Amino acid sequence: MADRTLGAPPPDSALSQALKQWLFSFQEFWLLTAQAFRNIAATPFYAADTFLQMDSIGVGSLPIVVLTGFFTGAVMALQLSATLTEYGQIDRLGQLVSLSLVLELGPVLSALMIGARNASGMASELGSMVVTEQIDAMRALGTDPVKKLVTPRLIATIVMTFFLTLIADMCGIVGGWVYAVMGIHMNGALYWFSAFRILDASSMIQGLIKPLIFGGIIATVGCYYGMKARGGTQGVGRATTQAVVLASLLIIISDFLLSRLLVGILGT
Amino acid sequence: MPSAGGAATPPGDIVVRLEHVVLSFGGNPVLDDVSLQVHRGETKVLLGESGAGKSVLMKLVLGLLRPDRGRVWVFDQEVSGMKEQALYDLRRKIGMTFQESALFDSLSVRDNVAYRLEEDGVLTPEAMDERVRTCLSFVNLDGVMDKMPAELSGGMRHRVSIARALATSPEIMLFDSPTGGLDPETATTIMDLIIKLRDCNHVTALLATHRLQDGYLLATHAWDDATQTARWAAEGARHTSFLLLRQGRAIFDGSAAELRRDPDPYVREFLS
Repeated sequence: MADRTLGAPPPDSALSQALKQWLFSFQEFWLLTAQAFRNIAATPFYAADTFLQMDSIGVGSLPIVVLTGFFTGAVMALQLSATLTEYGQIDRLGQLVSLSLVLELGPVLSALMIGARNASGMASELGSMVVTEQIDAMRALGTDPVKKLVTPRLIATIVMTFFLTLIADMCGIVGGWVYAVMGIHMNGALYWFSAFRILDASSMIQGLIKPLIFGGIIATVGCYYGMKARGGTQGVGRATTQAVVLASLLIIISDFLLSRLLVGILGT
Repeated sequence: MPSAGGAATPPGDIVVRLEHVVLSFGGNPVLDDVSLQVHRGETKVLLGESGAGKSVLMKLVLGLLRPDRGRVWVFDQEVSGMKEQALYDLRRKIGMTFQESALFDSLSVRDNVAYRLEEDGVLTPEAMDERVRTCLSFVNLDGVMDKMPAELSGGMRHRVSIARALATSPEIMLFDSPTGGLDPETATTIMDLIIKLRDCNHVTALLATHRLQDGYLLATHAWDDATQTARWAAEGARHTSFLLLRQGRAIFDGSAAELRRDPDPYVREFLS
């Protein structure tokens, strides 16, 4: 009370402090993101680091993306075939599988798998570097850590998420075809005809824009939590968990927003 | 041997200056109204217990942290007011070794030491290898170029860290607890290297330590080229001064002799 009469500011409530902290983190995240994107056109460009990350993120994530895509397509064919047969529409199985995969399941499930593997990897790798003062050492040696560590990961994740999603889509359609032919003895040619006939430019564009955005989300969230990790190994563990949770949430939320936007622009 | 970076400028001028620096973390004061000056060729020993603010002070000099109040000057440039991008150029003239060495654990010893040379991209790979060999030889580490940091002992990592900092012949060296956690023999080897660097290369240095014996070793020993060892020499000739920090406040700044005579109870207790 005495402080108040002297004109001292009132102490922050817990809610006010939490809000300030959240706003500060939000600002930090966007500053890091903006800096990482700005560095794409800046010199020096770390091409070798970028290719190394492409190998680690792209080739490293290939098995899980192939398996996820294949079995998602197969299980869709399995679940849809009974209903379609009941309505006499089994010849549309291919188009349902391909459209669902290209528009939604391929980009989202691939991004979730890539995010789980790589956002956690980035957060733990960069977080370990922070807590062992390697990032400070890098700055002390005259290197911008955002340019050296974050930008290559951002480029690599965006590019590789795009190609991995294409592969996942293809594997999913193949998975559906395998079940259609082997599980319900459907004519394979009919499945492929139906699967490709439905894919027009609008659905292809929608399906190919999403992985670019999702790749950006995975890299920026993973790197952000890594770069702000504090408090030793426990802090690195916490940063890793938070990175995976937030990246997954943002992928799901942005999928809805993007779908709404792209449907508005491109039509259904 | 790495060449002396500061030879081109006349001796005696101030290369590092802190003016009334204040810094807090989360409301807790870490440095409180600290001022200091380091002259060219001088070694300033920052003494104090753990948590006194020594490492933070080093990071302020390098611009890795910014003060809440006060100013930090290095080579007549106000570090505390510089943008990060401008700081990268300035940092190329300063070498720093960290408390835990901070070697890049995914790079070999060769790549760690050559890191800044690779970034500069001026030297050929052969010239770079030669430079790395010279720096490693200066810290008495031959034959470890292809090893990874995880394969080295603590003392070896500290020495690689010194070699990495020396690769581009910095004009200022910052040593953050270079002997922390090391056995006495390895600690003496590291201190000998710092004396050698001071006396042979005339590098300006700040050395943070809580070990008083490290500071006295610097103040009382000189590098003997003939025997390639650090030997006792007349005090006062070694361009070494001391700054004692207590809970973020500088409570003593002067020579070894003045430190021994200081009547302040905390100084007496620290020395005992």
